[in-house]
Amino acid sequence: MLVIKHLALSYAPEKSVLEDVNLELEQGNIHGLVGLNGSGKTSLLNCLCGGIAYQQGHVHFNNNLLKKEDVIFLETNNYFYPNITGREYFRLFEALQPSFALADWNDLFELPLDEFIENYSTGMKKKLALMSVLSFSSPIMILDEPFNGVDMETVQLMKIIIGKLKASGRTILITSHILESLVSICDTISYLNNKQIQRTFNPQEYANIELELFDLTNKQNEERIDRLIKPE
Amino acid sequence: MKRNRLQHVAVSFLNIRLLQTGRILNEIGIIRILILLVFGLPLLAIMANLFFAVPWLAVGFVIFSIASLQLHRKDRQFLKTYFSPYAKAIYHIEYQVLGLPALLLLLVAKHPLHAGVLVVGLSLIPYLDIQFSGFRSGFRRLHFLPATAFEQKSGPRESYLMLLCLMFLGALLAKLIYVPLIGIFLLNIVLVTNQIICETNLMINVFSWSPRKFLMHKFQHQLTLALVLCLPMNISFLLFHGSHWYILLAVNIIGIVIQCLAICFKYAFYTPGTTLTGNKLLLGLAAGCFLIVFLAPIPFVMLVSYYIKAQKNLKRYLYVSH
Repeated sequence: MLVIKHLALSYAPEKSVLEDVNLELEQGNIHGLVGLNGSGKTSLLNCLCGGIAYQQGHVHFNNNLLKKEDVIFLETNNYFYPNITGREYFRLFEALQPSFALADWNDLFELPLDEFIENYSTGMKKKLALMSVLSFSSPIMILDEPFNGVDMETVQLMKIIIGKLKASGRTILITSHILESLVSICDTISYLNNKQIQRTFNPQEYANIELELFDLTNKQNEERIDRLIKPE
Repeated sequence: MKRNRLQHVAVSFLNIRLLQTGRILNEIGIIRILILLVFGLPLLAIMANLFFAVPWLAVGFVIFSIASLQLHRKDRQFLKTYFSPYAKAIYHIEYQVLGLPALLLLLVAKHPLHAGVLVVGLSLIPYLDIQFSGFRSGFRRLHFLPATAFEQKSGPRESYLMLLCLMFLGALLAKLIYVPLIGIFLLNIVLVTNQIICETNLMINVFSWSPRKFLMHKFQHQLTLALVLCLPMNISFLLFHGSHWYILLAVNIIGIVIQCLAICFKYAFYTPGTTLTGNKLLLGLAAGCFLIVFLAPIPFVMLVSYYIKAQKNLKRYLYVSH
């Protein structure tokens, strides 16, 4: 089990991003994390993968302090090193993770590996990043907006892969702005708001999740929009 | 009407360039500008001597540098779109302004023919419009380089034109003692230009090594590439000036320090997926120290200091519990 206790993060004094974040994630499950833009989702994920040092709290995995090698993180931005081809990018992973079967994975994703990566489309870059994440055998996989910019067919493919990873015992934490994509695969969905985890939903509660989270703001916004768009 | 439009274009363009210059100067800061001036003066003195001693080489160097700028400039599409039909005229003016100090130096040195060639050469540069993707594709197959040497594949693909010219000119003109020496120094500077680009977190994670082993691996790849590319110039120098081997050794050591420093700077400030533009200045200052004898030990001290900093920063991205 991955346990986050009283985690607090601030980038500068009086500029806290996360305060007293508590979350328990069952091993071998898929967990969703939702929140508005700027709510601190990516900062929380960065704390878990060690990219940012948090000021308070602790994170345990199976009763031990979380280690770097426990986590692999697919970042939301598709940044790649310039002037290298997809094949060269993967050769790096193949060389250091010999069990990674590049050719077999690429049969699924069908990427033009001999092209320079900067010529890839957004979706291709996302696939490329996902494939490199799959070369790691870390027990915790963090996927920040994995469905951004990919076509419907690839979304389905990714969902199957994520399901299989769950079956193999991996703990997966996913963020997405598209609630529907999380509802169909997640075992729990947590809502991050006001620097804290406000609530964690179970599958039985998914039907009302949107209503509960956004009912009030939707009503307020609707009134504002009504004032802006008047019937002719 | 046409005159009004031309005036408008000129004012808009000057505004953009002034804003850009202001921002760059603001980013650098007064103290750093003063330090740069102190370091830059000896370099300028060397350059000025070059104009008096070997004017053809100086003309070639200026034309080549500005041509390289034309081929690599990233605002070509912007100028073509928003300043049409004056884009080429803007290039002409910019390049002649950039070449003006060189032109004046040539005239002062009483080399009017060279000055004329410079003006003509600069006038032709705006018509250079080579598509780089085709050339770069020729460098696609670098499979003989190790899988982990991605920087050594990326860097030469970006600046192959400059590297090839330096290698050939340095080796061919080795009879002039300072040409291969300057060539080796410049080649080392060109080779580290891509060491300001930070790879993704995953490309670091995958190593799962200690920071020390990781840095040693990076040094080994970069130094091997630098030494291989400098080999023709080293051999040519020894053929013509074998008795001055110690100067060559010193320049090669400077090159090695510059390569290692660039790697240490990169990983000392490493942030996944960013370009560390500030490192250019830091590296420029370190390289500048070698031009003033009593400042030459500073880069060695910086190397030790930033090696420790790089190790410390890398601990966050390599395998340590947090």
